[in-house]
Order: sequence, then structure tokens, then C-alpha cells
Amino acid sequence: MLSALFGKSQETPIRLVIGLNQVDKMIPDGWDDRLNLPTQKAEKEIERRSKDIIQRLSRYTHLSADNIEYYSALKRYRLLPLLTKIIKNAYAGFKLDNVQPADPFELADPEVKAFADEERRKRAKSKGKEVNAKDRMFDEMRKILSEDELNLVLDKFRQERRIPPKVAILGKAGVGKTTTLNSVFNAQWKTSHTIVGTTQAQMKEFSLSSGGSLAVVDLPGYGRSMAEDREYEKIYQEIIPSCDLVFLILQANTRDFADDQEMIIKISEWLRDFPTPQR
Amino acid sequence: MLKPDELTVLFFGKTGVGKSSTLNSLFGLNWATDNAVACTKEPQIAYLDNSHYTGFPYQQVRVVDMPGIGESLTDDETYMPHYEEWIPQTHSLVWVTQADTRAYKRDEIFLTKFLPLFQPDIFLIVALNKIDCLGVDEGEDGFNLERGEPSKDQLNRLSEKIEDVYGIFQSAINGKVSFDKKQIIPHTSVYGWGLENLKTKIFTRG
Repeated sequence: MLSALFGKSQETPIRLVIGLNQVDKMIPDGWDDRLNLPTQKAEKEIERRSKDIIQRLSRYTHLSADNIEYYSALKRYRLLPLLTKIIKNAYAGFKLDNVQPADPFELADPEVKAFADEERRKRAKSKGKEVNAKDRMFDEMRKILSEDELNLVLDKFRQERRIPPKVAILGKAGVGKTTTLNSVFNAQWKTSHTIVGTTQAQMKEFSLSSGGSLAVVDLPGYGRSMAEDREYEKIYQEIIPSCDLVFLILQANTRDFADDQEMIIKISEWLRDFPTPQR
Repeated sequence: MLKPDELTVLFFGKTGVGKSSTLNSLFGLNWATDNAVACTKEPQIAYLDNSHYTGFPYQQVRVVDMPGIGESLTDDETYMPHYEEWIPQTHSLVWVTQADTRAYKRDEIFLTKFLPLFQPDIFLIVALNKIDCLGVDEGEDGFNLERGEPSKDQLNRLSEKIEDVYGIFQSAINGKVSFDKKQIIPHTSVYGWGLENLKTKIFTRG
């Protein structure tokens, strides 16, 4: 986090997270609606599938399991692990630290939801006062740095905080980009259904519950037709270098990755050419 | 060499769309399928004859299941010789694709590539699989498991879906072979809905 703050690190991390969406549709009858979780059998298949995809993708780029997470936006499944990877890989990802993904238990059976709520209340009580990781970090730094040095860091930190994090979101047409945005960042935008997709880049800004705002560039989906892809690539190339994070979504219940592969290779190159966001 | 009374039906499409699964459900075959990783690496062939079906219009039907396209760029290259060998021998080409996506670029690329290999009277069917997964909004009904058929909400969306797929395939085919909307058959290989219709299309070729 500190290295991102100062814009130096030994090895420039790639500002790319790949989400495997729609794991709820991985196998027929694989979803337990009462718990709003995959069945045991489905969970095994999901894990196998995810491993296979990670292996495939890491063959062509420097991506690792740190860049890839599986989830279901529609069922709000594993949104927290996904958000964690987003924060980890984004430039100055700490700016996203207070995002609250949509609650999966709201979609579960009322009895299950009541139970979850009760458990949460108990835990909140027993936990007592939470120590803020950021405050702790600055306390530690105070022991090492002089007053002036610390103020410099704090200034830089506040400065960066004022710039809203910019996340570009893309994926093949129909993978659930808009649904994902809605559940991960708990924002409400209209989803486009099976037919008409997001056809141009749409810049959206919304307030985070923690204060501050988030800028999201909703990029048009690729892989629909050859003509459309030629057009969209120009848009991608223009926007991606300016982003703090590129979030690419794959559909976990499909296996055709040639389009995604092409796109991931291109994005990795664009990001490597611009190791920090071009503002 | 092809016998005049033998029909060759080729199943083709992107990896994971359910080619083997559709074939298994259609003809009671037992080919390996996998929810997670690709498993058809070589063309597999089954011979059907009139002892299997009553009113079977051909002496023998040869059904060929091809390895899927789009698994990765290198795999596409590896499988190419298989496609080049089989497509010129095909009478009915069942191009399987899935309903719960909007991405048909790989289909378009391969269809364009294969057009010169088609026999002039090839019959093309687009088998639109995974109707059970066709997108519905929160609060709308998904596939009706009890009745084994799409929900009303899914059926409402279906004609728009077919229209979209038709537009993409039609523009790739560009008048080279005859193709109309009735050649797009929605189905679900898992729950069986639409399979009878698909079977009829394959055998009657019209």
C-alpha cells in the first residue's frame, strides 16, 4: 500500500482483476436458494473450473491467483473476496477500503437471514471497539519518521484520497458487468438484458458510503461481432491507461476464452506501458 | 466415400456450449461431458440406423461431434485440420451456441472461415442451447423446473434473442447458403425442452 502511495515498488503490480461471474449457473440445480449458496457438489465444480481458468490465463500473461476471483453478482456470492482483490490490485486501492458490497443474506430464506443478522449482532458486541488499520499504520510511522516526514506522507495520502478511484469495467457482451457493479459497489444502475448491451463507454460517478466517490467507466462489451470489436478497441486503448484498476469479467459457465485471451494480452500490454494511471 | 443414402450430421460450435450434451440427450448416446473442462478433443462419430428409430428416413445417419472452437487461440489452430476434413462431407450442420450470452464473434469468425468448405445444399441449423439459463431480471421467474419448460418471462425474451442471433449469422452467411429464422432452434439439453423440434429439423432438413 505504501509503495503504491509513493508510486514506487520493486515489481510493478498489474492493475487488473479478473472476476469469474455467474458461478451460480455452473451446474444445473447447483444453487441452494434457502441458504443462497452453491450446493456442495456445485462448489467442487466451481473450484475445479476456477483452477482451470487461472491455469489457462497464467500461461499467457503474468497473472496469478492474486488477480483472479470467482463470484456471482446476481446471488451476491463471494463479493467480499472479490472486493479484496480489487483493493489489493488497484492503484492506491485504500481509497476503496470502505465499500460495502450488497448483502447476500437479503436474498436467502427469511429464517436464514434472521439467523445471520442475530450472529452479526453478537459478533459486533463481542468485538468491541475496532482499531482502524490506517490509524494504526500512521501510529507506527510516527515512531520511525520525523514530524516533517510524517506530514509529507499525510499530505500525499490526503491528496491521493481526493482523487476518486477510477475503475474501468469490461468483459464479453452479456457477462454481467452492470449487475456486478450494482452488487460489488452497492450502486444502482440499469442492467441491459440479453440483447442490447452497453454500447459506448459510460462514465458514472457515485458516492461511497464512507465519503468520497468512485468513478466507473463502463466499457462496451467485446466479442459480439468483428465490426463492433474494431470500434471498441479504440475506446479501450484510450481509457484503460488512465484507470486505477481494470476489472475484467468472465462468464464462469462458458468455456470459450479465445476472445478473452486476446483482450487480456492487449490490456496487460497497455497497462505495462503505463505503470501508473495517466491523469 | 459417401453413400447416397447416408446422411452426415455434424455438430459444431464453441467449446462448452453443450454439443456432446445435446447429442447425448437427442440420441441416447453416452459421450463424456464435463461441466468444468473441455473433453471432446477429437471428432467422435456415432452411426444411427432405422433399428433405433421408427419412421427413420435414412438408411444410416452418421453423427459427428467436433471438438469445440474458442477454447484458446492455439487450440483453434490444432483442431483446424479436423474441421477442414469434416465440413465438406456434411449434409446437415448443427451449429450449437448458447442463449445466455451476447457474444457471438467466434461463431462469426468461424462461419466466415467455413463458408467456402460448405456443400451447396448444406442444411444449417443453429441450435440455441441453455434456454434454461436465459437471463431474467431479479423478481422475474427463471426456468420452470417442475414443468421442464422456460418461464413466461424467458419466453417473452426469446423472440428478441432469436432475432439477434439471426442478425449475426445471417450477415456472416451473406446469402451463400439458405438460412431463415426457423432454422434457429431454442432448446435445453439438460431439461429436454425443444429437443424433439431439433431432432425433426435435423432429419427433415427443412
